[in-house]
Amino acid sequence: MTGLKQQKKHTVITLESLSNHYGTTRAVNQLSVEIHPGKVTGFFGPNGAGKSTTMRMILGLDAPTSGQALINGQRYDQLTYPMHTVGAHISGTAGHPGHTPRTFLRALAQSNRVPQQRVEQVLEESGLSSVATKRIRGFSLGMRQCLGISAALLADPDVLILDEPMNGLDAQGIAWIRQLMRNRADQGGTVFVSSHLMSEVQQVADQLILIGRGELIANATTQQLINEATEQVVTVRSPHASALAGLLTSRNLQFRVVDEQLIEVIGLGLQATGALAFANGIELHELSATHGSLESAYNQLTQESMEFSASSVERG
Amino acid sequence: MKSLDLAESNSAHGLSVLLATARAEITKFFGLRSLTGLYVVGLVVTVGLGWLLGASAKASGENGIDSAMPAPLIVFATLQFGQLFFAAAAALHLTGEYSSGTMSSTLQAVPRRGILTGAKALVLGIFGFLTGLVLIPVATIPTALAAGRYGEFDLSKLFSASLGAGTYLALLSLMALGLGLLCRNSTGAIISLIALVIGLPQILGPIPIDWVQSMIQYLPTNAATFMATGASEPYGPVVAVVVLVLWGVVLLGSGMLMLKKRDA
Repeated sequence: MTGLKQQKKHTVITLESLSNHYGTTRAVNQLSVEIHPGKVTGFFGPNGAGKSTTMRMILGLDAPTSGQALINGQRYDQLTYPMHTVGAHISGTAGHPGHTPRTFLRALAQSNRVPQQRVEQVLEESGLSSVATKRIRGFSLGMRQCLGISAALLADPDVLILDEPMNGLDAQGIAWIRQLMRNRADQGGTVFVSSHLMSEVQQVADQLILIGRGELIANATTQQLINEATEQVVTVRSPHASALAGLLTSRNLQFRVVDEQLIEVIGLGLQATGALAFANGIELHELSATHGSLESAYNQLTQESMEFSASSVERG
Repeated sequence: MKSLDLAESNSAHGLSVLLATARAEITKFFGLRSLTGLYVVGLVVTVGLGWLLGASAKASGENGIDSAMPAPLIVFATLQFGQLFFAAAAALHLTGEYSSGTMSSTLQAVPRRGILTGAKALVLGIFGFLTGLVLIPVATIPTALAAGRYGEFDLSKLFSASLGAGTYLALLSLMALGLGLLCRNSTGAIISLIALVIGLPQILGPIPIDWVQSMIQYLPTNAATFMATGASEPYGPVVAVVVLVLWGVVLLGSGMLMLKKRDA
């Protein structure tokens, strides 16, 4: 790993009211956030939430309808030899099927004046050395992901942008990516990684940006989001769940009915929920706070945009 | 890497970025067997057809039909067919990046789309020029041998045919690149190429309207012929070069504008 920067240059990505509309679809709408160095920032939202489009706009691949994405104050296309500043892997793009990984990486290295020895280094690092002279045509999804990530690492960039990097990877590959993101953040690098699976980002991200339908839902530390989620959701199992639901409704408290015997009480807390059931003589079989699932935090946070979408469907 | 200071970026580094990008394009071109293969087939076809036409000229001549033509020009005439292989290689060099999704990687590495187009044009233009320059002398040997005295030529004819073929294949490669940028897919690019160099002259040929007939004279293939044969009617080599350059500029220019305008 000779010649690599031990400390990355302090680089901030700024999205200013970034929007991408086509027709009446708002792929990304008025997104304003900053992505800071020294930590892993997860970018989470369901498929179609606008994650890829946002990343493509940062990289200058798609043009914003309005707003802008800046890297330390510059647009991506203002960077000379941009791979030294930003290394990115956008899913589904890693080389021409007729090329070998070595040709693909060598051409990228030449275009950004990266020393050729880096090609062999990243091939080694990603475990692709043994297939360096095979055509990409025959590669599995996981191998293509590894190749795309190798390309992102080629110029040892200050910023790493990865779009759904875990797709198609085996356990070993996932461990590699996690370690890689951790290391680069610890070296002061800026790491921005998207996923549609909360379990993937939750374990690796320090900061989480949640989006739904192209709009910002939350931007907070992972710990903050988990705390909020666990404090608020209490799972109650009871043969008289409907009676409890009635009580909650009459007191204007929020809850979700999971099934006939299971409801989730939101925002009331463990003690108050138990006391409410006891005072009304409702038999309980389970009373528990949900443990650290960001999945439920996200569901909670997205409820608003879901309701919005439901009502807009009704109107439509 | 310290020299890559972002602040002093833009215009000063433009040329250096262009050359770095051109090197990458050369690597990509030679990394694909489909492209080098097309060049090889184009060479073999031209040499083979030249030899065939040479032999045919000799047979005709011996039977009293005078179709004698300098051997280098016989070879140039076979480019009517052989040109498609070189032009297709130029178009596929670009459209292959779209069909495989590599265009995103390419534009990440070189986000300035004008420079990217320039680098591709530079590389494909030079490849086309060198090919034409070498192809004519190489194919002239078997052609001249087959044609015997019905294919006699002097060196100035060899020189002008080689230079003409080089110029033509260079500009044709730029037209192909432009069509590739406009179509963004291989099938569309190849079909529009064939339409331009073979289809249009064939379709418009039988239409007995004066302005259609004079328009045909300005199609790339005909301009190429007037350039290489040193014709004076309907126009000479200088005008022919201008006509070809215009075709190149218009197609490549509109292709580049579309690349700049559209999302990758």
